[in-house]
This record gives sequence, C-alpha cells and structure tokens, in this order.
Amino acid sequence: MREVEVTMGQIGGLRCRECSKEYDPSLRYVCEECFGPLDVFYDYDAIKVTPETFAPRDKTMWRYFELLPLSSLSSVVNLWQGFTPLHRSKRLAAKLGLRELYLKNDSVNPTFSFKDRPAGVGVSRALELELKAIGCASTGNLAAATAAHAAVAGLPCYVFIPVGLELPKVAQALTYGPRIVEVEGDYDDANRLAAQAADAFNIGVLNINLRPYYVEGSKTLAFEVAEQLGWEQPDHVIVPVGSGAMLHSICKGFEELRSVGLLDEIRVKVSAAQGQGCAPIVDAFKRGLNEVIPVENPDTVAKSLAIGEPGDGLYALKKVRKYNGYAEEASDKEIVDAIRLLAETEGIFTEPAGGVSVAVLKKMVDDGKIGRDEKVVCYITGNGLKTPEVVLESLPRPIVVKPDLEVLAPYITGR
Amino acid sequence: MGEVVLQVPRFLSSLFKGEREIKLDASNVRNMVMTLSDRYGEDVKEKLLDGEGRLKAVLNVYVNGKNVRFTGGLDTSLNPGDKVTILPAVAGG
Repeated sequence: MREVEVTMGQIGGLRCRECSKEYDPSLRYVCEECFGPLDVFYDYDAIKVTPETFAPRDKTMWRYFELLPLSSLSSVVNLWQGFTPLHRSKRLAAKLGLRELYLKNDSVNPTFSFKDRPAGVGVSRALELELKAIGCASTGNLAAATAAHAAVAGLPCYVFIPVGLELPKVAQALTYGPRIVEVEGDYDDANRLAAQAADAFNIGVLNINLRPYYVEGSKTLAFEVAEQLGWEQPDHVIVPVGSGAMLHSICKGFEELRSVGLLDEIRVKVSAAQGQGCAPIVDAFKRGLNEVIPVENPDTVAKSLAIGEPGDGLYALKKVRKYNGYAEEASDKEIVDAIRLLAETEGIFTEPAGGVSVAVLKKMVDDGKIGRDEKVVCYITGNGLKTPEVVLESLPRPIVVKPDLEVLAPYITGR
Repeated sequence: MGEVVLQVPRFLSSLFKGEREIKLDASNVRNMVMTLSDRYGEDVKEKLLDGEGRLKAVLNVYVNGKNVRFTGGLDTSLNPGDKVTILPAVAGG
C-alpha cells in the first residue's frame, strides 16, 4: 500500500446500540449495562474528506480508512480486497424490464466473497489490540477470508464450522493453514462454541468479540457503490441477509457518508433477501412483528445465509423498515434458476447467496415493488466456484463427440 | 447433588461477583433466574429480563447446548446435572 499522509485514530469509541453507553475502543463487544451490541463511532466533524480525497488512492476498500476502525495504516493486513466492479447490467436488466441495474460483484474478492472486507478489518484490529490468536465461526466464506488474513498476519487461526458444508469451501479454507474445528451441529452450534472459546481462551473471534470492528468492513460496500455512481446513492439496493450484519453495515455506510457530507439526505430503499427455509427476517417483516423468531432447523440451498438465530436480525429488520424497503424470500429452485440467469446474461457465476439476491430482485420487479425506472443495485456477495454442486444437477450435460468435424457439425447452430 | 451448573461468561462475571461457575437448585430457567436474583441481588433479574419479564432479546440461554427459545423459553425445565450457559445473542457474519 502506498504511503498516504493521513491522520488516523479518529475512532471516537464504542457505543451501545441499545442504551448508547460509550466505551473505549478495546476488546469488548457487549454493553456492560444492558448487554446490547456495541458499534464503532467516529469523530465525524474531524473527518475532512471530499471525492478528491479518495480519487488518487489504491483501488481497494482501504481507500476509505478515515471511516475504518484502525489507529494506524501500518496495521492493515492487506489482501487488496474491495473496489470490486459495479457491473452495469444490460441483458439481465432487459430481461427484468429495468432501466438501470447494477450488480456489485463481490465474487471477485481475493478469497471470492465479500467477507474479505470485514475479515480484513477484524484481523487488522486484532493486531492493534495485540491479540495472539484469532478465529471465527463460519458457514464457509468467512472461514476462508479469516484464514487467509491470518496467514498474511502470521497469526494462529481457529475456524469453527458446522458439519456438512460445501466441500470446495472447506478445501479452500483448509489450504490457508488454519486449525478447522468441525462442530457436530448446525451453524448456531458452531457459533456458540466459538463464543465460549473466545471467552475461555482469549481468542479474538472476528464475528463475536471483535464484531464491532469486524462489521465495519462491510460498510465499504456502501462507500464503493456511492463512489462508483459518482457520489450518488442508488434508488434501491437488494441485500442478501443471513445474520443481518452486512445489511446493517451497508446502511451505516450510507449514513456515515451523509455524516461527513459526501451524500445528501438518505433516500435509498434497502431490501432484504433470504432463502426460503431460513427467512426469519422476511417472516417478521411480512407479519409486521417487532421481533425476529429464530429458525430451529434452517433448510435452504443458500447455506451461507442459513443462520437460524440472526444476531443482527432485529436491527436489519428495523433498517429495512426505516429505509422503505421490503423483505422477500426465494425457494431453492428460484435460487438455482437465478444463479443460471445471472451467469447466462451477465457472465457472473455466483454462489447461492447471490442467487437469492437476483431471485428476489426478479420477484420484486414482477410484483411491482421495484419501479422499472429505479436505479437498482443488487449485491452479489460470493463466487459460484465455492458451490458448484448446487447448479450442477440442473445443467445440461456436455456434448460428447469423436474428434471429427463431420460428427461435430450437426451440433453447431447459429452458423 | 441435584444441582444445575451455570457457566458464567466473562461479560456477566461482575453481575455474579466474579464467579465463573455457579451451582444451584432450580426446576426451570425462570426459577434459576429468581434464585440467582435472591443470591446475587435484584440486578440479576433486571439485567437478564425485559420489562415484560421475558428473557432479553440480546441474550441467549442454552441448556446443554440447546437454545431455550426453542424449548419453552423461561419455562424450559432443568434437571440435575444440566449445564446452563448465557451468551450475547451474536451470531453470523
């Protein structure tokens, strides 16, 4: 990373999302008073940024470091993630009948999912807090992202996963050299054990005791979209939701751009997309509930979103309501169809979470919940190579021929 | 004998005067909270339950690894030897 003149250390501290009590930016993640989650806040008045501030910087998410929770640029554990393409859709947009559709393609991050963003921030902050080991609980994507950053940082890494994850995800994560603990149970069991390990062994677990810092990385999904649209906000964003943390962070990102004067009043609509079989936020939204009822046995092909007890579920629900969005679900078949549709029209191969986004986008356009003239951004958060078996069964088999032109000829159309 | 074991995570240890493992008699989770409240002060009840007397949404209680939200909430029965854990409701990435 190039040396940049910058004043770091503009983190104001941690603030409870429930009771607003403030704390120093240390290794803590729940409020002592009410046990609410803690969020990082900044001294926004001290942050002097303009579009020109960012323009000359490296095309990574670290270009927004004034709004990331690090004390020093030298702490950054850099995999050169972020600033992924904001792909202007032509053929998919035409098929759906949308005038202006963009795909935020995070499938091309260094470990092939958006998780490089929060993991990068979490591991960098772990170094600043002088932690000796890190870890995470994961459905697969965070496992790879955490392990890769741990490898770069030279830190021991413990990854807790549920049994039965997609093999490519496990193989990818294992290759970076962490200790992987496969927990006999579902994601929530793995997460609980990771939380207990964080407490008992003083490990920095990214999505648990480092969570306030970790989630800040996902704000860059909002920063980049705004910058790539010429410092404008879209009319509508579609966000795949598991725990709700990413959706909450994307909203915080837009809110912070407003706080530092880079955006006007927030008017973007924020919609949540979940897989049928694990859609507690959609369920709460549709039933008008003020609580998110956990799902005991999540069952969706979108395993990276199969979080039955979504930690930020209620907060994500509140943001969807605040920003006039919707919450909608997609069945396994709709997800697979959407993965293929995205690949066939835009050349982007996504894992099921991205299929959930596209399937829900299609459903919302069909239902009239997204106007055809709206400027829409659909978040594609992971790469299809992580889950090839999801689509394989639905695909046509290859044509098998002898190496002979005459045998081949009948198969070639469009000549 | 006949007691359940509450494993106290670090973030709750000050509420329980620094103790990290508490043994007590309790027939269900509600009963456990009340017993703890009698032993360690009203603060326990006030901090673990919301205004309507339900378990706070920001907390999860597990009995032998099972979230009580799936087993009857505060009415979840406890048996001798059960391990109870309280954790912040933080899951997913």
